[in-house]
Amino acid sequence: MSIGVMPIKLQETAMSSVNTREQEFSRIAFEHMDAIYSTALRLARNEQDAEDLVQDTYMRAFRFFDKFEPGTNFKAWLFKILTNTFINSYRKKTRQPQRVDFDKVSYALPEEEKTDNHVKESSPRNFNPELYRKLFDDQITDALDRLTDDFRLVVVLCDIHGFSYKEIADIIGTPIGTVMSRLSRARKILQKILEEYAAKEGFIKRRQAE
Amino acid sequence: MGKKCETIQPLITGFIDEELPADQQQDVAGHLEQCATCSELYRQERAVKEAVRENVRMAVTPVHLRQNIRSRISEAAASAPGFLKALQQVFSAYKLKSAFALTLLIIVAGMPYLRTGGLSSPHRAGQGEWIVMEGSAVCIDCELLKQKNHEGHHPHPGAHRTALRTKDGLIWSFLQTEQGIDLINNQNVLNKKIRVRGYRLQDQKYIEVEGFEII
Ligand SMILES: [Zn+2]
Ligand SMILES: [Zn+2]
Repeated sequence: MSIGVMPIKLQETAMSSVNTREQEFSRIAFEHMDAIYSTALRLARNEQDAEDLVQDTYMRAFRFFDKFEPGTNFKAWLFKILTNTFINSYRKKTRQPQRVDFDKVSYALPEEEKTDNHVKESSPRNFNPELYRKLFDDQITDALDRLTDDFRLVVVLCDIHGFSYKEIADIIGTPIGTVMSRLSRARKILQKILEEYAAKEGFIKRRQAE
Repeated sequence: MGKKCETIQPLITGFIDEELPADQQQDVAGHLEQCATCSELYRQERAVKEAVRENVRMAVTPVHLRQNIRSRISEAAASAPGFLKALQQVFSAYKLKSAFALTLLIIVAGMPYLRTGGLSSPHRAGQGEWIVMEGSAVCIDCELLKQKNHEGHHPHPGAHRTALRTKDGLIWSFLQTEQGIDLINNQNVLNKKIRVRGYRLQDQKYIEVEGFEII
């Protein structure tokens, strides 16, 4: 009798039909999980919050999957959800406070403040880009973690994940010009921090002013 | 600071990221060749970008997190309002409404299966684990030949078939699922380091591939 066989076959057919959305989502979304998780780590700066953030991002993305327009950039769409989730629910309650042990310099420079002159003065004359290579990768990650959220985010999106300015503008919801000026400031602040590290390690002389 | 410098310096960031229109890119490049001040700024900013790009590593998603998300999405999919409706549609399409209740029963009873990857792979239950494995992509046929005659000179018939050799020397082949077959036939990954994630079947040296990347 085929009765024992039939339901099982049917069952598979039914499953594949109702799971189409789930399967399609998994197929295109799961391959970005390492990128999303890496970014979540840099945003939340601790593993527990990062995991929650990734989980929330994926659940939201799945819930709103119908709203995704096929043919557009899915990875950027996913990053947009990540960013919004972070800004709306995590930024306020991150468990790890911003570290403040780094001298008296505030890296949360207001947007209007011009950093250019200050940075130029303070850069050692014999600056050699190669010296960054001597820093450990966790020192560079650490430096990145010192930036305020807005600055850190554009650096992560541009320099680690290689998104274009247009994609970043879309992800964080700002004009392209803002992306570029934020990146510019963020890198200058990073440069200052990295120089400090290099000085501490003895690769370059500490600045006279200090 | 010259007038030209004033217009060039705000563009250095965009120049580094190659985001400026072609004529501006050229303009900046031309100025950098002549101006020591601006080219120094350029050098410094590019060094920062490269330090970040080269040193801040991509993290690998913890296996438990990946599993967790997978099962929560399965649950969400199964409990979505459209679920029963979709089932009914399938059954009415088959004109077998009477089988609906019975099958629903089986599906509900089989829910745990769903969470671990669906009915299409019943062998999964409790026999393996989700993994992320790294190693070199090798051709399993070439490897077999090498083991047989100590020199891989005699070509085997057919195309190379990719498998994963882990650090400990073990060779893992891939189950012939859709993704598995893609990887087996992928000639571009051969002799490269790859990271494979999926489901490892404990007893046999097989991986059910979910995804992979060259590292
Ligand atoms: Zn100049
Ligand atoms: Zn071969």
